[in-house]
Amino acid sequence: MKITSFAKLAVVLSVLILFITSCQVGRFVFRNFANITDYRIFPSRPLHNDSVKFTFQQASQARFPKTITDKTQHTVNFERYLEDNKSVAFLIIKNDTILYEKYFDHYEQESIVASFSMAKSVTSILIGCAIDDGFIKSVDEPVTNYVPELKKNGFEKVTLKHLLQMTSGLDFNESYVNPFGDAATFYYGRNLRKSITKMKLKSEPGKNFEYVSGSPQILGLVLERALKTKTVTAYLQEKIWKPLGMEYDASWSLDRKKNGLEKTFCCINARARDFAKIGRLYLNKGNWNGKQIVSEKWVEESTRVNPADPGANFYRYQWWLPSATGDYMAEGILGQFVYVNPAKNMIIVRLGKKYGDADWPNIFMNLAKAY
Amino acid sequence: MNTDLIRSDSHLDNLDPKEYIIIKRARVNNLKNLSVAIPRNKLVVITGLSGSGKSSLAFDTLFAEGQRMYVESLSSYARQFLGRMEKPDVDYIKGVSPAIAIEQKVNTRNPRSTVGTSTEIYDYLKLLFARIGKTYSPVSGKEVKRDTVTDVVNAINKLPAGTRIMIAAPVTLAKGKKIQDELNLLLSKGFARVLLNEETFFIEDLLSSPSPRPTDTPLPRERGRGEGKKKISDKDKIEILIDRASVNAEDEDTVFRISDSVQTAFYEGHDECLVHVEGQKPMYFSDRFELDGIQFTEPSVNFFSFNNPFGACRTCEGFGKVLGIDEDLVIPDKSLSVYEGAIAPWRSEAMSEWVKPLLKNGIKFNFPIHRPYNELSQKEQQLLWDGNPYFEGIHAFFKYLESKTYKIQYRVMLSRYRGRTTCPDCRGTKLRKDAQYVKIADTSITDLVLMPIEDVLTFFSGLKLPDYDKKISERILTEIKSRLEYMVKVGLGYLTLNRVTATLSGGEYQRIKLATSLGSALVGSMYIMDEPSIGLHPKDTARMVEVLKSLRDLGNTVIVVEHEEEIMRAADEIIDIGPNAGAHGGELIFQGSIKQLNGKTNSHTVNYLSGRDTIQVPSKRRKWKDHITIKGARENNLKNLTVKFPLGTLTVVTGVSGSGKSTLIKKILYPAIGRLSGSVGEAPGKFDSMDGDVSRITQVEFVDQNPIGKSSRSNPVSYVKAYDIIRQLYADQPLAKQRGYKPSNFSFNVEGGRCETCEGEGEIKVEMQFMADIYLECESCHGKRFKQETLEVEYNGKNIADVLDMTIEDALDFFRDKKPVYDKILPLNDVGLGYVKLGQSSNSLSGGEAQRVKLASFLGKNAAEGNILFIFDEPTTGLHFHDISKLLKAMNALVDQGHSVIVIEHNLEIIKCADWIIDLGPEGGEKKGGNLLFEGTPEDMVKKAKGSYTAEFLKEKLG
Repeated sequence: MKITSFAKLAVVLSVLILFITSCQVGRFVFRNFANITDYRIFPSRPLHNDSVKFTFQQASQARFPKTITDKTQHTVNFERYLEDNKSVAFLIIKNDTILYEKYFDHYEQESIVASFSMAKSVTSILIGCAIDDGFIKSVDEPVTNYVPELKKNGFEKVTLKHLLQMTSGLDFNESYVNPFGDAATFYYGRNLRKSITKMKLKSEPGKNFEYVSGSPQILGLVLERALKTKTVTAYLQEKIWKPLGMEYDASWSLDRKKNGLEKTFCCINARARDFAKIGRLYLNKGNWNGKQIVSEKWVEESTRVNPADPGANFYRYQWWLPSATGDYMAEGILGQFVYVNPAKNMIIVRLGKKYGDADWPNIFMNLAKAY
Repeated sequence: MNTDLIRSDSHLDNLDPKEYIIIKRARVNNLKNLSVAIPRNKLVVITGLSGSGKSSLAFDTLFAEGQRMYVESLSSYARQFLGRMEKPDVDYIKGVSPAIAIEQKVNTRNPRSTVGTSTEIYDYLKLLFARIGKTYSPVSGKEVKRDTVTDVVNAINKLPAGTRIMIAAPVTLAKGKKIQDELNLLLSKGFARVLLNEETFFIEDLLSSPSPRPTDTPLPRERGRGEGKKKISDKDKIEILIDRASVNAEDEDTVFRISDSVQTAFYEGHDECLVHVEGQKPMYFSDRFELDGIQFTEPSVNFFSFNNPFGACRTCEGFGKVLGIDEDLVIPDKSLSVYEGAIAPWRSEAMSEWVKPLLKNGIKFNFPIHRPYNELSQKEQQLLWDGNPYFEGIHAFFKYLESKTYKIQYRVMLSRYRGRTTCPDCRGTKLRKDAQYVKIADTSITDLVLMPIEDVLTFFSGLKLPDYDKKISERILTEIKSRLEYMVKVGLGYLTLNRVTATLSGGEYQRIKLATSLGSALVGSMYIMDEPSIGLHPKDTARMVEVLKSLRDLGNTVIVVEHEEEIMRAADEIIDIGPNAGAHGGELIFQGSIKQLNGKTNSHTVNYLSGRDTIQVPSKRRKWKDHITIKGARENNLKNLTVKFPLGTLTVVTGVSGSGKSTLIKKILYPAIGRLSGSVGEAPGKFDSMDGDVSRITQVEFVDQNPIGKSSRSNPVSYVKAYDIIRQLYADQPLAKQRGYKPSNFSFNVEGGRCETCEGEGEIKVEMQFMADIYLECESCHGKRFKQETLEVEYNGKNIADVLDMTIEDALDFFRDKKPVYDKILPLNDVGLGYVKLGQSSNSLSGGEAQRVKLASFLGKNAAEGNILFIFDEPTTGLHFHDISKLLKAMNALVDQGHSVIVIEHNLEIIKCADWIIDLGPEGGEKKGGNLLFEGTPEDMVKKAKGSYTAEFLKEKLG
């Protein structure tokens, strides 16, 4: 009797598991929204670098603050603070020299961490490259030049710039807790191209800033169409992964295995040191040891506020501007950061399992002041 | 009697070291076997050009020896940590007193150190407030007092003799206890009667009677036993009747008995006691320190000590700052009105929802939405933060953002506006909040530390205290006042005691140390000071001289490195080192008092002071056509001025302090032009328009005397960008190529070729607790800053460290064949810096030298293209006359290269050499300043300008 009821339960459970892993809602319930190990569950395209590797100089002695003042004004040990706030990697680089590099919670230099929304900034770099290469004419082109399917939804007035600036007026639910929200659809969904063509507008483009993952994903499709024969990942490898001498191979997660589209709003899976190199590229205004990877003008436009443009004064072309002093950063949902401070010639990378109870941008700014 | 004062060596040997500090044959840095006898207990000024060796004598020789001798006196255990101090390169130094160097360096980075603590004034204030401060309740504003037994007895004795009184103690029932139990307890303690609603009852009666009769008899009348029975409940307020007496202040026995009873009453009533007087309300006394239901802490010294957990503010833990929303970031431009978007986070389209209700409803609560933020009343400003029923304030806005931090965009927004802000509880004074309740003459210690020192002095000078307090505080007040007076005397009356020491300028810190030294009244020491007049307003120089003299009169030897004329004139003796800078200096040129200035000498100082050397008035003034016109300048006190600034000339803007020169140039002209080229971010002050040949200006540069780099890693050769070429040169040498060295291997700023022990500094800093820091040569590279392998790469027989150690003059010779390097460093020589070493760290350059390094980077071939407008703000401050003439040369060279120079200055040597003068005035301040008095050449100015101080003085100069 006991055994049969147990067997019944097992059957019900397995059916349930089958159901919930087979659709996006189910996967959401099963896995919750996001986790830094998610790259294992998604199909992906690999990124290789078989040419020369670039390594930062390594300081013989680490230089970092002993203590840090936390929100409650208590002085706590710096490394303890990083660890307690769920960091897995923390790098401080100044003058091309790694002054501090530490991994926590069994993570190490070789550990892969998902970029989450930092991928948006990378997508933006690729748009810049595509303009330099002539695949895209300008940021003022309407998105419908590349995705004509969106005409039926009234996207004729939406330009690439609107998408880059997060001022497209897109009707997109960015909630990370709602399994029926658009963010979940994009994260777990298996047909991004179709999802994109279903998108609608809720307000006039070019007016309001709203941070939505839909915009960079549309840019992903634009990129794919503009590149024609190349995949977005192949373009990243050609334009950035190889020329920047990335130390490790990486990958970009796709919506599905066969003929998938890169999740350009999230999900480049790489190592901390290689993320730092993205920061170095912009620190050097798009130039990598003498070779211009992306035009200086593009870097400038992406990181400096232009009062003439509508939108937020703290956001440009998929990069965040945490202060008005010229610094900028890429940020991911679980507190993944590549922070760049040109005045101090500094790059700070923080990767984490969770955001933690910390004001990271402020910590970066204060660290930059201290170095 | 000038040059013969330079004593022969044998003469020196015979001098008494009790009267002189004798230095024989000093060879430190560029000193050339310099022998000198410095008289004791005198004010001695060591002067000379920048780089002539005066600091080498004062600091590297005299002070270094004083410090070394101090270290020698320590135990061998302590010495092992410091034992490597080298004896200065000198035959001997006799008669050195304990040396105290007062340098222009802020040594402390401790955020807890303030002006108050470092001058010790705060220590005395703590003591003063702990002793005579009175605590006032913040609720009623009444003084909080603890009533002692004596206070109660005194109050009773003030009643008319024969008045009948009852002394009682209130009973408070402990939780869970019954009144009956309490009464039984009292009975067993020996008390017989209690007061219930001001009527007396026998305890026994209350306990036994089942139905007590109500009574209508008023107090105080005793009832017979069994009379007036009452049922008692736990809620009744009862008092123990301790004693009854009639007042008789004369009778010692009665007084004694009353005191005894009051004591008992306080004991039984848990520090409370009541005195019932016939026909009056009972008098209440408390032995507790409380009022209005608030328990106060009695002031003690620790109570006012913010470095002690007991006294530190609970909110900020004694830092004075908390992490919060920074007002300056939220309202970055305070001259904007709410309507114009003063509140930065509400400017964007999406966030404008927050400001709209305010704009719409402002009229309903009479809020001036068009008035600039800084003109709003404090109440109105606060309203913006707090909000009201019509709109939600800024605080509510940030609360909202905080509740939505799961959205990245709100997280970033919050980060943008967060910063360290003044702690709201202690107002940045780091003290616990209730320390503010303790006051003397209606002023709390926090009020005092937030006032400028001048006002604090006025407060203490006018302070009237009751006799008793006066007696206690007499000594403390003298100490406080004398220290405050010294602070005002050294020209620091504008600082507050709360100012954090680490934020002071070098000059301010030096003067604080000076004031503290005076306060400590140390005798028989040797004070060595580095240009104490820097940053001092000329009107304060005279007071500074007074301070130096009083330091001497205490019985100290005061040695000042200085070239301010007024201080030189006040000196007992002047020691001039020279005659020129660097390798051409290091000799004793003149020693004696100012009166002995005569006869021929090669001392620049003497020649200028005696008027024999002057700066030549140019014979021709440059003509100009192109100009920039600023119309309708109205910022600060400017009276709607329209001013023409000629281009391609040396223009001087002059006028007395406060006349508006800096406002016109720094707040209007500089940002207005800078904004066009995108180099200046700040918004210009109020003016109507700018026109003329603005397009001729390609760039605007503001040149000040700030160090060219605060770090010890920047140096002249890197500043003029010659170092990059030199590094490349070394990387191109065969050995370097063979080993694969890159140019970065020859940099001491990045890892690779530099010495890693000292990280390329060449020296290691040892922090000394109560003396100036000591710099020791790095042991592994011996000050060369590079690894041995790097040094093996040579060019023409010299390695990279040798090159950095060359003077600019020598380097010109060395790099004669390397045109690119030569061209880059030639301007450094042209501005008179030939004696400076290529690798000399820029923090060892004087302000004047730093300024000229900056100029050099613009001079020379292909250095700066286009037409640059240079703006100088009082460039002659702290410069020796001879250095001023070099500066003028450099400025004229810039103009000759096609640039334009505008100088804000009141040094007449510069004014008389101007091509064009713009004079503002006539006086300083809001009412009397801000007018344009004159525009034209110096010659015209002397002829035409009336009512201008500058014109009066200029007349003399142009003769």
